Formats: sequence, C-alpha cells, structure tokens
Amino acid sequence: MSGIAVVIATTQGPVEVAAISAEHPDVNSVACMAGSDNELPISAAYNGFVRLPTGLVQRYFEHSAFLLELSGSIDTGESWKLGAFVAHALHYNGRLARGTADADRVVWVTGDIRRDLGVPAVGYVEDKLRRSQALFRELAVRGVPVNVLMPAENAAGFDGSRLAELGIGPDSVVAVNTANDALAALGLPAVVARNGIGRVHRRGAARRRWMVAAAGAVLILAGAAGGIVWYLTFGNASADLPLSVADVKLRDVLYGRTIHGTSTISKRPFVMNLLDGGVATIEMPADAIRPPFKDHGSWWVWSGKNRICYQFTRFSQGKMRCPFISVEDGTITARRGDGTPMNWDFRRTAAAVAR
Amino acid sequence: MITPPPRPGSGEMAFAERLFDAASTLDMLRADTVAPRPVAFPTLYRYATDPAFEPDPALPGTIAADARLATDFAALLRRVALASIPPAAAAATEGEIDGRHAGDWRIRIRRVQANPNQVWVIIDYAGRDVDLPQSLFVDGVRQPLPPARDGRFQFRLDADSNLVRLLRDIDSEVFLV
Repeated sequence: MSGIAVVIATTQGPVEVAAISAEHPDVNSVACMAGSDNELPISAAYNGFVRLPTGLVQRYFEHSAFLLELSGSIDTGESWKLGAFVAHALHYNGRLARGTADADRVVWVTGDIRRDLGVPAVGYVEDKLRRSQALFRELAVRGVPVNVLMPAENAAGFDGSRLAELGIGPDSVVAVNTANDALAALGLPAVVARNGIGRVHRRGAARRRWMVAAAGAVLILAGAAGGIVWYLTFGNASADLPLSVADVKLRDVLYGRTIHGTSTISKRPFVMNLLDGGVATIEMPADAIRPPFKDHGSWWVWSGKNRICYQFTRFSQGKMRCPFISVEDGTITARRGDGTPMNWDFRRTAAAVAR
Repeated sequence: MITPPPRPGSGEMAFAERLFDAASTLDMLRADTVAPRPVAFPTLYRYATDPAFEPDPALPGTIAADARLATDFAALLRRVALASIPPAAAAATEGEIDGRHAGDWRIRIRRVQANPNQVWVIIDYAGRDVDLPQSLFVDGVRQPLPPARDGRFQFRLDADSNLVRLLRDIDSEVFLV
C-alpha cells in the first residue's frame, strides 16, 4: 500500500502511526502499541482528543471511536496531537500509509493543536529532530521524501544551516500556524473551524455532513441541557471563589477533622482526613475480603452554600461530592442533597484542637 | 491438670509409617482414575478475593467440572462480590448475548474492527460507590480488570476465548469482585 506515513516526534525518538481503525461508537478510543493489547499512557487523553464534546477528531472526521496503533510508546505531553490530527485527516481521505516501510512519502510532525485549530509552540523540537536523524538518513537512502511539520514559532528558530546540520533540507520544513497549514502541505482539504461538528471539504459527502450536523446539533443541545443541570448542581463549586465570613468559619471548624463513615454499598468503614492547604486523604482498612485502600485528593468549602466539597483520584470514582454541612451546638452533621443525614462522624484531631 | 496423651511406641510408629506409605502409593496408583481432590477453601477464597493470587491453571476447569464445587464457589462469590449479574437479568432473548445489565452495571461486547478475532469488553458503572471491582468472574473463570477510567473498564479479549463464550451465555452468572 502506498500513501503518506505519519511520524510523531518524541524526545525518545520517532514514533510511527502504524494504523488507525474506526471502532464501534460504544468503545472508548484507545492508543496502543501496534500488535499489542496494552494501552499507552496517552490513551485516555487520546480518547478525549477523539470524542466530542472535547474531541477534534469526531468534530472534523465524523466518527467517535478509533484504535490508534503506534510503533512506540508516547508517555506524556501534548505535542503528539498535531501528528494524530494529521494522521486522522489522511485516514479520513484514504491516504494514510501503514508505517514508513510502505509509504511513498513521510510526514514528521510535532505540535499541539487548540480547539480553534491553532498550533502553539512546543518544546524540545531540536531534541526530537536529533533523535530522528537515523530515520531521516534511512528515508533519504530509500528516496522517500519527508515533510517536517512544526509550529511556526518553533520553525522560526531554525535557519538553513542549522537544519542542514540536522540533515534536513530547508524546503522540507513546513511552518504551521493552524492545522489547515499542515493539511494544505499534504494536499488534503481544509477543515472549517467552528463550534460543534466541523466540516471537511470533500465531494460526495454532503448528505452525510447534514446527518452528522443534525446529530451534532442534538448532541450539542443534549450537552447544553446536561451542562445546565450540572452547573445548577455543581457549576459554581469552585475552590477558588471568595469565601464569606461564614464560609471561613465553616472551613475553620472542619480543618483538621477526621470524618468516620461507612461506604453505603460496600459497607466498608472509611476515615477521611481534612488537612491543611485543602489536602484530603482517605483510608479504608483491609477486611476479610479486600486489601486496604488509600487515596488522596482535595477538599474545600463551597462559597455561600454551606457545603463541603471533596474530590479524590479514585475514591467515589474520582468525582466531586459536595454534601451539605450544618453545625449546631458544636455538632457537625453532613446531609445529602435531599436532606437525609449521612453516616459521617466528625472527630477532632490534635490539629483541630490546636487551631 | 491436663494429662498429655500417651506417646506411641516404636512399634506403633513403624506401623503408622507403613500405613502412610501404603496409602500414598495407593493414591499415586489411582491418581489417573479418581476424581481430583477437592479444592481447599482457602485456595478458593484467595482465588476469589486476591487478584494477585495465581492459582493452579487447572482450577477454573476443576470448578466448572464439579457441580457442587461450582455451587459453593458461586455462593462464595455472592458474598464477596461488589455486584453480580444473575442469569435471569442477562437479557430478554435466548442464546448468545452481547450485553448485560443489572443495577448500576452494564456489560457490553463489541467486535474489534481492527482485528475480527478479538472483541472489546466494556463494563460501565453508573453508581456512586467508592469501591470498584478488580476482577470479573464467570462460571469460575477469572478475568483481572484494568484500572477503571471514568467508571468504565474496557479491555480486549480473543473472540473465541472461554471467557467471552461464558459472557455471551445467557445462563451464566457474572460477578464483579
């Protein structure tokens, strides 16, 4: 198969896009090593990069679930996103090669991509180029042309002689201000930046575009409705809002306390510690069935709401919870949104007493 | 005052050794013809509750082959599981299914488009509880679960694997432990 291969630049070396496969929409998108079932560390971020409401791939390429197979691992960072976007554009247009071996052209990419399709500067570009020199030499021997795509701000830092030292012809470099600069360099149709579902200029897809647009409108309306409900519930539960005197008083009452409670379903007792600086920890002892559980997170007073909010990395699925708190005659009581009391026992610690 | 039991004499000890040797030899001779020894409860318990415990690879088959053991193991799982999806709740249709739903839990099976020999197993939790399971059991077969992401476990399995066959079987019971 011929086509254009995408190489995503990393500080550990070039990583080839081996394949992209559209999967069932029920599936979360996954990034994995080619031929392996193990997900890469960026897999969760890749799912967010694909699926609406945050995903650019579904917005512009009409599908919500993909399996992205890479030749190597990408552990962290954002600069894989422009390469992934270009790979999806090539896949959408039927021009993505399965790695560099069968490609009649290779595009080496580094860059992040914003929702407005802007491409900001990224770091370590020279390191990434150095790490890819062996690949550049191999492709030159094979006579395979290479395009080097990087953010325009980064490209401005390389002159011709510097690029020549790195084994790159100055004509190979494409300075990218927006994602469409990258697509244009590869002869791909531009995408139209807008809110909701995006558009790709492609013949014969008008009807499908309308259907996708209609589906997008429904999704947006549903999302907006959900957003309103969420906002009415938790929308202003930020930890950064200014606190009233009553809020500060409540925070001072809670600071240094331990909350002894019992999980409603597993019936496991837990101890939550409300520490200084908004740090919270939680522990559940081992029982006959399960090993001990420990987690950390944050807590804060919800401004003007008589609520305490907490959020842990794993406890309660990592979701923010904000029960109501009342203090009467020195007794602290936590209640759910419907007013029913929770089985929480607030106990004073040495830190609380000292305060 | 507690009186210690009388110590056996040398003749009695020699007789006991011969008897033990004879019983062991008989066990070895009959090893291929008799049913396997019952699985000890501590082994079953660790298999059910400790995801790091690596049992004899034959254990799932042993459980499946012994109706009484399978019943006991299912009873144990019912006690320790965070959730179970009983056969009656599996689906409204007969035969193979590609999804299950009970309470806050939903399991779906979808074909991997990139590899028709594999399926995605998607387990979604819509509840609010703290603890999430670490293993999935179907008819004595255990599958370690990957870390959940936003209340979802998702992993790939061979489409013709025993576990997928059991998940698709409307009569099987699924436990999340």
